[in-house]
Amino acid sequence: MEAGSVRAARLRYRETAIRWGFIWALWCAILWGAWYIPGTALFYETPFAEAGATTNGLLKVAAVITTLNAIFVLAAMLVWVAALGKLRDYTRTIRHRSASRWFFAGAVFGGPIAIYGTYLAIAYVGTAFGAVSALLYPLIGAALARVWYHERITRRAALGILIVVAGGVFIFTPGLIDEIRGTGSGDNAWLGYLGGVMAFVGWGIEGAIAGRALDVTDPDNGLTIRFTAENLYWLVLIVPIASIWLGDELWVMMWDAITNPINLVWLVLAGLTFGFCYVSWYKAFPLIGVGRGQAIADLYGMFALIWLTIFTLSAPEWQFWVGGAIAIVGGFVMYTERRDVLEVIRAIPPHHAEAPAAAPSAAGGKGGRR
Amino acid sequence: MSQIHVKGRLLQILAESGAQWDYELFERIAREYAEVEGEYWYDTIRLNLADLYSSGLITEVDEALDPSKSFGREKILLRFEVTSFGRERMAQSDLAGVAA
Repeated sequence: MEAGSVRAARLRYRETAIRWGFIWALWCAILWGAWYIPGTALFYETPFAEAGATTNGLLKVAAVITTLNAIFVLAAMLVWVAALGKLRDYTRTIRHRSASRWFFAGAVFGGPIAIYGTYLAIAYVGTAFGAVSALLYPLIGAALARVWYHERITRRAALGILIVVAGGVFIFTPGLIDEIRGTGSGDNAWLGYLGGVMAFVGWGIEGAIAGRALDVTDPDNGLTIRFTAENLYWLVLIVPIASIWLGDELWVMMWDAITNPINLVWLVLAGLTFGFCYVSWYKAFPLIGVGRGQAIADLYGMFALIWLTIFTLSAPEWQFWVGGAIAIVGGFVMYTERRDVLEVIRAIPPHHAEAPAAAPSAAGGKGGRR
Repeated sequence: MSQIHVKGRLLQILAESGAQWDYELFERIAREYAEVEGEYWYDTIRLNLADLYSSGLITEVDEALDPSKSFGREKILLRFEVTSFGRERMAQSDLAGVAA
């Protein structure tokens, strides 16, 4: 066997691994954008359209839609995990509490905080705003991953993050200025902006937590545990506690929703797009890192605008397009980084940098850990 | 003690038995886990190992080409070893010193 062909095969293998990291993140972006279609359509169907006519009603509608969304995502993911033959490994991973507890923590930030925040943004400001309001989340995710577990955030990656932030700020600016001048898009528009902040902070934190948990767990199992947790939060904690004040209103709305057939169509589509978007996100993190994975997934802003334009035939305001485009350029700056930086995405701290017990083989020509 | 999940077990085997080829890890996992068999699971385990490598928990110590070890297909065979960072993560995740 020639050392050259072995080395070439190894390079091909590594290139494939990195490319798949980016492909998974891009799939996340495409499906995340697509999710906004069923996620938005639900607001126009019975019982949500009627119940959402008032401010308090809208908050309840967002809670019920988020709960139903989580249920249908979990259903889609359980089918996915079963199809992969990983159901037994999923239950083993749940029982490994020192790993699965991270997914339970991540579900708090990604579920009740980020997803609910997105619905607040959609409900109180608008669909396109909802789609792009979370564009800032790689800033949070990358910073946490860098500080917490030494993910390699190079100068180039940091520059990309800043460009993403600039795009996101550009998107926020017009509405915020109107809001400050008192001519915003309504008395309760601030709730939508708060929702936007909840979305980007929540998803940033969830991504960083997921990156940590996926060190020792499989992404398909991990994501399914994360949605198992979110279902528990909504169905066992939040909705029952809210019912102390609201009576059975949320449960009745949930029942009315699932007994209207068109809602089931939207919810199945939402479960599939959101579930596979999320599992792609989790699969990307171990391969290319949380910062880059989130940055590429950030292209969902562009895809959401494309999907919305196709399905509604009404283009969003020009600021959404320009700001979205700037953010996407930032994503590209990050993911066109040199391959040798990307092979191992962690900068192992100095106290781990001692020589490995066995030297790499001559055929490999590698410098050990990077 | 219930059985640990496959990715955790891969780390445990590497920590307990030293450097291992990916096909050796697959054969060991296939003996221990009822559902693990065939080329699909061999590839699934290689994906888990790719994740562990990218994240810095394991490192490559050797490589080879031998289709007889990879279900007749020419795939790069990799020999891995757990890093000290990997051992630290194992300790933090209650994976160190726990039997399957």
